[in-house]
Amino acid sequence: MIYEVKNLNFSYNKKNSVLNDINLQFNEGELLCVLGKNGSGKSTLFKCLLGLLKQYDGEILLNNKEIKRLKEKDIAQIVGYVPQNNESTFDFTVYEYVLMGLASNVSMFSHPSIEDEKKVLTVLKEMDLINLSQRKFNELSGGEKQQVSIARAIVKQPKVILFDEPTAHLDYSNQIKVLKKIKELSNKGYAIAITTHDPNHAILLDGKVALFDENGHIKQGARKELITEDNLKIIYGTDLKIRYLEEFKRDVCIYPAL
Amino acid sequence: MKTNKKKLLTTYIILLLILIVLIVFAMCLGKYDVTPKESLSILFRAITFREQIADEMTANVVLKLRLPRILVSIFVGAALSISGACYQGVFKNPLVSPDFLGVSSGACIGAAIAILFSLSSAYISSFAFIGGIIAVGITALIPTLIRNRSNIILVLSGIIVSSLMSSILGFIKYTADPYTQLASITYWTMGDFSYASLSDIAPMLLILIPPLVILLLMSWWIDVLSMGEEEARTLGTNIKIIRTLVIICSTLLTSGSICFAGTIGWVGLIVPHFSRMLVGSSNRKVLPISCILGALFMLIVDTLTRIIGVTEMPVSIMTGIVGAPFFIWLLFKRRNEIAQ
Repeated sequence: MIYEVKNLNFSYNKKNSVLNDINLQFNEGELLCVLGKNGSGKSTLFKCLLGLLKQYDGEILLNNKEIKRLKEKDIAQIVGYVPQNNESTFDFTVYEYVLMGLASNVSMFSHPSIEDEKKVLTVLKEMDLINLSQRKFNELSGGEKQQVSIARAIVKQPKVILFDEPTAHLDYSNQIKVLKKIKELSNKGYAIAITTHDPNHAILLDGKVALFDENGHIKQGARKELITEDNLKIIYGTDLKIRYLEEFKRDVCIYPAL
Repeated sequence: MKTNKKKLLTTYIILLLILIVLIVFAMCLGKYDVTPKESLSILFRAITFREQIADEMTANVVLKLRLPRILVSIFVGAALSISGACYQGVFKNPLVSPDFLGVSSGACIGAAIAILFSLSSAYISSFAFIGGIIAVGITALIPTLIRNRSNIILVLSGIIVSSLMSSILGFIKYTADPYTQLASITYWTMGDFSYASLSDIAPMLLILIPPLVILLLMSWWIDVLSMGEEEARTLGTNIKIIRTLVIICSTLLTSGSICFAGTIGWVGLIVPHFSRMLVGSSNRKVLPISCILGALFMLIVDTLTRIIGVTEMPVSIMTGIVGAPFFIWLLFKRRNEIAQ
């Protein structure tokens, strides 16, 4: 198991618990969609999985090692991360931005090697982003930025990629592009976990699902078992309908009327 | 990619050539006229330990007055600019200047105490250096005491320490002799290269070179740090060690500069901006370019203070006069990026 979470509890202050007795597993080639409403604790869970928050109770094992005991470099060599907000204070080029993805390979008093620079060019070519390499990252569209962030996450060839709300702020066309890319990476064997508040994304990706309720509990299982009208009512507190569309041979989640 | 590297190399060479030409000009310009030929000959003979053919007065003006001053000004300009670029990167804020963690105000207190006790200029420099380091030490201690080591707490601590140090400096000025010590303290805090001597160069290089080399070696990591604490950690950065090391080295550069020249504003703020305009935002390029541009800027400003007016003007006044309009021009050039 690449990630194994056992009885995880976390709170920012002692009064309100954000994550409550969470148990979760996922392995290479698996795609886990963490579904929940805004503020349910999805991003907090990812911060724990990335080793950014360490004052939790329970266990988080990455490659059978407790994440609290791993250094940032060790975690980054296994886990790639695509953050929700892609912004940079300074105007780095796309090439420079992707190069930072190799930080876990670079020692403290040195710069990325020529080999590292070649890896960046290779991943940009593979993702059809080579034309953007000298463009400023801050000047790209939301969709392009997300593609470049994915390139930065995969340039070091990690085993796991965590996507935090990868389609937030994107139009439909770019949402589909990103979801296709996630599916493609999953098919290549990467272990992938994404957070989203849209049940349709979980249906489209068709992997495992972890549902967050408002008390910070999680249910994990197969998509068909968990994405039900009853469960969605509990999670979002509103009536959502699941309908099977014969034309596309898949379920869709819709809101009936205002 | 190769074209970019060629362009960068060409930029370095052109800027270095301009610096060399300006050094020659600076040796000639001043109240006492020296021709470029004379100054180069004096310099060449001094370096090769040959007997001077120029008259003693001219040789002394070039070697004992102007050359040390030129060297100190270019080292200070380079150090403050690199330090500014590093602080801006680490704190994710392009409006940060090298003295915002309290180093300048701490150095001023150190120097003011030495002046108050009528100590020699070597002691004034040493006290200023120690004062700057102590101030940043206190700034760094506050986040540890309140158990929140985030950048924002460090910045706020810098503001607290700077304000406290300014009050202490005010008290020292209040108790100082108004006819001698107060004037010296005020003049010192405005920056001055006129006391520079050849004997300053070796200790100055000893203080400035190690942090400068370390920062150049770590320049790429400043890019990663500028992505923010969380993102840098997810990329595999040991943020505690790298950030601490960059802050210590930048502080040594700032304090090491201030102790030889007094407080000098603007250079550490505007030179990194101008460097980014020339070579982009990667600190692998920004730091070396800032080093050369900072040296150029400081040399030009100091030469202007020597040649404009009847009496010499403190450097900080001139950096403000030159720096403020220059910064407005930079903001105008980058207005669209800032709006984003």
